[in-house]
Amino acid sequence: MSFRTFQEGLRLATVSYWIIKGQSDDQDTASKAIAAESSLSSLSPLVSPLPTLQRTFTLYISSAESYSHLLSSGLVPVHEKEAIRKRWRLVLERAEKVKRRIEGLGGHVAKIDPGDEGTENAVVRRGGLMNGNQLDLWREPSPREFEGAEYREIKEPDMPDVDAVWKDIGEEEWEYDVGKGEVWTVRQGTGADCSVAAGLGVSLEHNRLWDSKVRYHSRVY
Amino acid sequence: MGQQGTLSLPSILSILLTRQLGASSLYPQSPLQPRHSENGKHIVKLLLNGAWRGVIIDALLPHSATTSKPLHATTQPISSRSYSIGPPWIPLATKAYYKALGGYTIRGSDPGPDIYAFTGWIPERLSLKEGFQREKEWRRIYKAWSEGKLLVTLGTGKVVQRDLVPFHAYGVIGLREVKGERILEIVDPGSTPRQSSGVLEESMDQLNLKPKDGTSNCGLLLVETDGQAHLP
Repeated sequence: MSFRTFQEGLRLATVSYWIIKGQSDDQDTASKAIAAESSLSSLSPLVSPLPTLQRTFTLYISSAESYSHLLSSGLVPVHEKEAIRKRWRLVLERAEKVKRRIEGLGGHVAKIDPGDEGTENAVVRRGGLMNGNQLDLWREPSPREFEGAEYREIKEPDMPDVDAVWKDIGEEEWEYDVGKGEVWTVRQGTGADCSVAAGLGVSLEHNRLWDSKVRYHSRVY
Repeated sequence: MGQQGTLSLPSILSILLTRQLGASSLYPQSPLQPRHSENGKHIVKLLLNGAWRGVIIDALLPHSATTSKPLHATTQPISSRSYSIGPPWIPLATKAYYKALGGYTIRGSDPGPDIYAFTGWIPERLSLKEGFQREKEWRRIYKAWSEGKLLVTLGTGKVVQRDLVPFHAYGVIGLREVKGERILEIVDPGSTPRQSSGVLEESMDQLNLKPKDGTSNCGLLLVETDGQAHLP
């Protein structure tokens, strides 16, 4: 934001101010302000006003910064200073008003817009914390992760009110091969959920019926 | 199904995602299939909260302290009467899923989102009670099924027909049109090998049908789409 003369600085600030109003230059300030207010209230009920309010807030702040820089530049004639201060206060007040409305709708100002890459990354990262488990984004594990000292969970997943013991899987169990000749079914067991068993059961049968790469899922070694 | 019965239809997203079900779910692998882990550590790839994530588990599975029977999901040939564990990847993959969801104690879920978490296939839920367009939906479902682009599960509501279980999920492993009848072959994941024996033959007799290859003496239920369940 640079300017060399009072007129340049005034135009810069005023252009920002007028962009906020969304009106042409031939309207007076009061009319532009009312029109700007109206444009927000005329939004469809199905459309969130937050994006418009966020953009409006940013432009108000930008305009206020322009007026501030203009006033501190020493370029403003003495007889114009009061008028510029008035405009400066006005855009700041309006920025404050918009900020309160944004916060009233549950939003925040001075943060990146929803949909920005940074926000999405933050949401995805926070989504990795589920029921006290930190679940990192998927990456192909190295074979070394499955070598070395025996791995044991500090705490096994909660079970229903049954007396359970946790047993290791014998290496020979991995020799099972679900062939294509017969229908296999997944039974939920006492501690499991019917929907998960039903879902994996139909997946198994799909693998058997359709000779696709999916079927490798049902072969276990 | 019951008055609040629903269909969950995870339709295909892409062949790449389809591969996730088999090739990429449970690690370690050798080379494209899950295998025994030397240190007992497994990592399961699940689509959770909008992203593929790795859920780390050990190789321990829950069994009853009194009977030693498995408390986890098991897999057997449908005609089997044994309680064998079957391929270990299924109980291990479900263990990881339960760990992410807060434990085996979750109060029921929905097969659609469950399949979505394992495969990435987008679920679609149809209510049989409200707004169900029988002819249109049957054509759509049957076509997709015939092309291998569909997995179908059923869920019951509070009120059910005789012998069905309220608030329960069933798997559909066959859709057929026979002499104008539309038949669903349904598996109850809550059945035991002993309970399921002979169910199909009885249902087949009632419908005057011959069993499909590999499904004799098994735990199938046959249900006509017009609502008449043929149950033991």
